[in-house]
Amino acid sequence: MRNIKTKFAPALCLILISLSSCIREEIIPLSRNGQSKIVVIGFLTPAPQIDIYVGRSQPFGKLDYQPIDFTEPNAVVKISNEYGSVKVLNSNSSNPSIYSCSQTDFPIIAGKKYTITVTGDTGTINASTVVPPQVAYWKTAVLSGPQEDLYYTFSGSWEKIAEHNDVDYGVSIKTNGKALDLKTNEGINKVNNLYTVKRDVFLGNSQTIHVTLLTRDPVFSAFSRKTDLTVEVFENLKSSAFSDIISGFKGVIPDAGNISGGIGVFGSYLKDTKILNK
Amino acid sequence: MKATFYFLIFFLSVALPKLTAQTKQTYFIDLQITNSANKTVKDAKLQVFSLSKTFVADKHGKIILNIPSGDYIARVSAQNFKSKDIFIGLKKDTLINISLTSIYGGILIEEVQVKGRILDKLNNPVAGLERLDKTTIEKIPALLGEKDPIKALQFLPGVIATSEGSAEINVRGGGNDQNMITLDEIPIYSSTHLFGLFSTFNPLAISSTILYKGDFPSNLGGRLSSVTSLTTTDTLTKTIHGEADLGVATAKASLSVPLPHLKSSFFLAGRRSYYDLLFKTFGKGNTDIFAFQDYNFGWIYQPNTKHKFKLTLYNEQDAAGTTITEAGFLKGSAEKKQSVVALSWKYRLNNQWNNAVNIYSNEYKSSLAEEKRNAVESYLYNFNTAIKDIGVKNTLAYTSTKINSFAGFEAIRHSFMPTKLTGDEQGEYFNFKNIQDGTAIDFSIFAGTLVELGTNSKLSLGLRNNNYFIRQNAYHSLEPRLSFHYSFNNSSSIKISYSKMTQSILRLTNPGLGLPQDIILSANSFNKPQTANHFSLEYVKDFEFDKEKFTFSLQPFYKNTHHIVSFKDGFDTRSLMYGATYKGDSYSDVITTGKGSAYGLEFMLEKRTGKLNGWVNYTYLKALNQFDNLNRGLAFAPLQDRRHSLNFVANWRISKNWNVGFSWMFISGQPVSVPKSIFLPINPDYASGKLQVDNNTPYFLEPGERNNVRMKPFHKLDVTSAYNFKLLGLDATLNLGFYNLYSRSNSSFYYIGKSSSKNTTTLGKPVLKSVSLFPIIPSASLKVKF
Repeated sequence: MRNIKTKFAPALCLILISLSSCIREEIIPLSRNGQSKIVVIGFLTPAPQIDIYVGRSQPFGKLDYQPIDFTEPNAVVKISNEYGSVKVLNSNSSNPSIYSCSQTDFPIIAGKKYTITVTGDTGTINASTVVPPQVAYWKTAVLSGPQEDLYYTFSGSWEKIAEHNDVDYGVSIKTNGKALDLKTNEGINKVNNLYTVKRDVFLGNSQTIHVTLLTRDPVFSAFSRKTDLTVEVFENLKSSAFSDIISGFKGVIPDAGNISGGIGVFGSYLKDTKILNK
Repeated sequence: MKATFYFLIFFLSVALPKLTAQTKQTYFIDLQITNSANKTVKDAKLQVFSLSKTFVADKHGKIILNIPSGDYIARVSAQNFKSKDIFIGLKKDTLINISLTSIYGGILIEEVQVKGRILDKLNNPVAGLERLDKTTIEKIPALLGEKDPIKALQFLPGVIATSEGSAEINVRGGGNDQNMITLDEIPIYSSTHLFGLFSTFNPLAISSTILYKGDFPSNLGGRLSSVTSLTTTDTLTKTIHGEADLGVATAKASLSVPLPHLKSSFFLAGRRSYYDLLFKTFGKGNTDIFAFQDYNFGWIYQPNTKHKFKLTLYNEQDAAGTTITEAGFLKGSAEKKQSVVALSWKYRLNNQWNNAVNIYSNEYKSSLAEEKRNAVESYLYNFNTAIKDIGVKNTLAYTSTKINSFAGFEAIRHSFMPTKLTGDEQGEYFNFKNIQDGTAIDFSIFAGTLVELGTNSKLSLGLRNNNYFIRQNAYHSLEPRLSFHYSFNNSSSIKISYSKMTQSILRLTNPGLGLPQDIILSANSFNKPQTANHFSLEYVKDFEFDKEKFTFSLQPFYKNTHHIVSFKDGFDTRSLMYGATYKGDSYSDVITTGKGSAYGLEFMLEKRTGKLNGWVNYTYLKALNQFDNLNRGLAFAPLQDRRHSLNFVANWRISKNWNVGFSWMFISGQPVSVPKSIFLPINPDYASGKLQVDNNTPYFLEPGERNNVRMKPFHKLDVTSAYNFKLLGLDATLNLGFYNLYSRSNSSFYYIGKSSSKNTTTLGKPVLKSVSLFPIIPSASLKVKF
């Protein structure tokens, strides 16, 4: 199901052109001197390697931001499993803020608990995740279209994993090696134990899409919903059209994450990917 | 010699007439004294000089005297009337009619149409009561020239708009869902048109607007923070008359028609926006609609002085949407409709006892729909929310010089349909209700009395008992209403009051301007009925300065609220519809309950007379809410916590034909939630499991404390001018005005945006941006009375 606001937005824009043409924007100066915090982001899944991002946050309202402001050099990143095995991750040469290790040395296994410990200049943080024990599979996955010679429609469905109520689901669509949309929760609906998803897909010259069904732990799920909402609000408001303003999200973006003493998320997921052709 | 002279004078003036009278025949004089409207003048006097006697008229303006025949000079006088000297040559019984003229000049007319009422705050025992009449509302400048009874309230102390341009109000730190708005005593569920820009009340149809802010009579209840009572005319008209008003945004008209042979009269009023008509005329291609309209009908039947019946019909609706018929069919629409039917009967049993009964029905529906039919896709999603009330209210009142009392009951049957999603998708029909329908019985009994304690004080005692039944749950509340009024002297008084209010109906609505999707919910076991305790104090002082009358009032207040409701973080009304990132399948998913408090001080100075009149008021307010599930359980300032507000409203009658109105409004910034910090957007590549930085997406945000930053203060100057003239023999008024004359960029909302940066070594800077929707906006309207 789609977001209905997009459909009558043109009418509102036309009718309220006198108002929308008068919309004025300005930057509000903020005099805030908050402290920066350590940021840890990691999403475990059975894959060739483990990646953990370690950086720093910056107070919102600073006059300027340089890339180096967001780095946390010389962090020590350790990952451990429920059996007591510990692995130190190494800083990635291409991006020093990402710490990695091969899963040959330290495999991520469904249903197991993992803990991360990061020590930086300002202290140590800990966080844990339990990888979902079971993956949900696509029941149906169809690409139809094109609609109006412009876009295709992806429709899919899957069944809830009956034994595990603490997992949640997301869908990522990728084409030409790039995610079409960062929002993984969009267009998902649930009726009893059946989930369905429907999204419009602009393929361009690409012939195929990769649709990935994500089975996520609750922390990753909450974090993804928060980031989806952030993206949605950003997209809604960047044009400042009157129609977007009145139909946009009016609430408060929630906090989400499980990094005690810091910011970010340490979650996990399993996936089922299908490749669909035009 | 001197003594002889005095005796002669005495004899001539006193004794002689008596002596002569004894010898003459007497006759009757029947003197009837009336005013220029041929109405009797009470307490008139007849002074007969030669008799040195003064006679006083009875209550029918009649004086009957029996005096000897002869010639008399007499003076007829009465308070507020010019005296008249008459000569009477009495030779037989005589009937005399005397018509007196008012000392204020002109002639007295039989009946006046009250165009303005000054609320006597000094003697009115209700604290925090505000009243606006039609004339005052018309003189206040308004956005797009649309005079609006609800928006006019925003210029009163303790009342602010929820956002710029909005017809929703916050009263003394209360939420906009905590206001009861009634039309002819019928609760109204939706009071705004066009995404909140206009109220649903046609100013031509509303004769009086009364706002209760903290001291509530026990016959009123159902919401926590305020009661706004709007009334249409309820007096019989004797002439056909009406008004038509053509403005920038709408056209509106009213018509009153007497039916003397039926001892009744009726009135009609209607208002319609005409953007859609313009588009139908000039638009091409897609069919767009964006319109609102409202209609009032009132029929008054008064067979005699004891009985009065009034039938009220009210209908208002919004429709917005577009239909595209190229390559199939696509339609998106948002619609809202509200219909009210009411019949009231006022019965005067005798001079002391009156009874009023009001039977009514109100139905509110709102829908949001999208339909698409083409060769590839076929679907319809239709979200609906609705409530229907059927109610009856009876009030028996006793009035005497020392005591006024009333008692009664109100019973309402609420039928809820909070959320319903229907439609079809590729041939499969669906029908979801994530919150189940329900029926509730809302039954209240109430009683109140106003007793005069001596000459200086009045005590008002009231009690309301509300009983709310929904499914297996029953909620009972006792709501005391107490107030005490003390007059220090003829020019100053003080009032103190306490009221408890209960609210069982929730109106979930998004802050600010937004989609017309208010969702009406019932209290239940998860969210019990909300309650509020109000404490109010009001000091009033009337005084004169330079022969002009002023009223000063000072009102401290405090209230606390319990079981109040808020959306959880991430949720808004869309969460109960579809297409939202955060979806709600139940009450507990979407909302959470907590408590709040608000206190403040209101100051108001009114200049009530003169060519230049108006008021200035200031309100200090501090409001705090606390929810266990929000802001880590810490108290925070709600959106309606606007610390300072200041209003100047002035009306200057330049001449008989020219009138100019000014208003200046200042309100402290609204609290908003601004992130504490930002960090880089890191996302997984699900194919490889690797992490990647995506510079095309916004920064990730670390939320700060809820409502931790104040938006910049709001202020604006509005002006309006009215020129009265004759148009085709009719009274006409041309209104010209400007909203936000100095075009301040007041913030409608803040959001996190990116500044553009050409420096490649610098990341696009995330900044806080303000969006302003309403610059200087001119308006013009033409009103004709007939």
